[in-house]
Amino acid sequence: MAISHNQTDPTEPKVEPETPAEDPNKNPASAKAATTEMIRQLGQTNAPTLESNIYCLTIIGQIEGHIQLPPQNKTTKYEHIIPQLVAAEQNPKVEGVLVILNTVGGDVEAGLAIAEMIASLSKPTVAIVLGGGHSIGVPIAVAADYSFIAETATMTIHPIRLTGLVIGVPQTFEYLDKMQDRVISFIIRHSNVKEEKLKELMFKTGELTRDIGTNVIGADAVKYGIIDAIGGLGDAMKELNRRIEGERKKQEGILKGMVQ
Amino acid sequence: MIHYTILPDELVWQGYNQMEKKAYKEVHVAHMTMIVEQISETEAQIVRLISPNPHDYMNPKYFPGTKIAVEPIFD
Repeated sequence: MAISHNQTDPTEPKVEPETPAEDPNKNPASAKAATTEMIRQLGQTNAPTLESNIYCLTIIGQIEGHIQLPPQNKTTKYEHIIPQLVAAEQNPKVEGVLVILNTVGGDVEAGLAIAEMIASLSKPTVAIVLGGGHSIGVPIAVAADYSFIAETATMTIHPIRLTGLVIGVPQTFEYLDKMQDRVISFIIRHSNVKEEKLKELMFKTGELTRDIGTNVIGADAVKYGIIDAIGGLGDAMKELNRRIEGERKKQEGILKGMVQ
Repeated sequence: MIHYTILPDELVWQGYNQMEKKAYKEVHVAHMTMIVEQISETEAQIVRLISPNPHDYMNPKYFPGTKIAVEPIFD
């Protein structure tokens, strides 16, 4: 077992590889204590582990990238999400991925990385926007094979800006413009919205108090072609199961073809 | 880094300069590397997991926030 670099540090921890945490299934009493501890410490419980063929990915709060945000932010850290998506792709038991979004945006690099990962999964993916899917949440929402938005959910389409820094040279403006184009081109490639429409929404004035842009609510997101349909959890699950079934049939077809 | 969000920057970054720099440690467990925060003499909390095996990231035992037992080494 390897121990981290500084051997002279007297408080250097040594971890027992066999039992990093107690196995809650083995001892019911300790399981109960562990659950209480989880609620107290993290505000969450360990749900009973049921085998599911769907991998559910929730993206909430700020999408955190290279810089750790102050603690008042609720964040989704991309370094946690990305390997889980790799596991979902690789695990044969996982047949579909459900992405649940309620995000206010965040890091462009991290957001686009997650969006690209979801878009390139070979398994069926369905996204659902509940509450909000703003800013960098938009490319993530459209990255799935099929996307839903709750009737009351909103998506804010607005330009990328560099607050606090004065744009002094044309190069800076051009750089920002390029960053924006990455987001725009991703959304266009993965949804039915037209570039002109998206740009029109993005640069609209008079709707947002602090910014230019548009607040697109439920049905409007579908009307503009950003999102595929209005719906809730039930609709999303139905669609995902339908796609999984289709995928299974396709696989069976390939197998049959091979036999013949 | 570009932050693309609807929240005003002053709200997102409030207190950023006052954020305490936590002393994280790196520990190696089997093939995994864990970035941990020491919370007591014998306990540490996983902050981040680094592993070449994607299924380790799905293992609730290694989820960030999970406490692990550590032993101090005196030498």
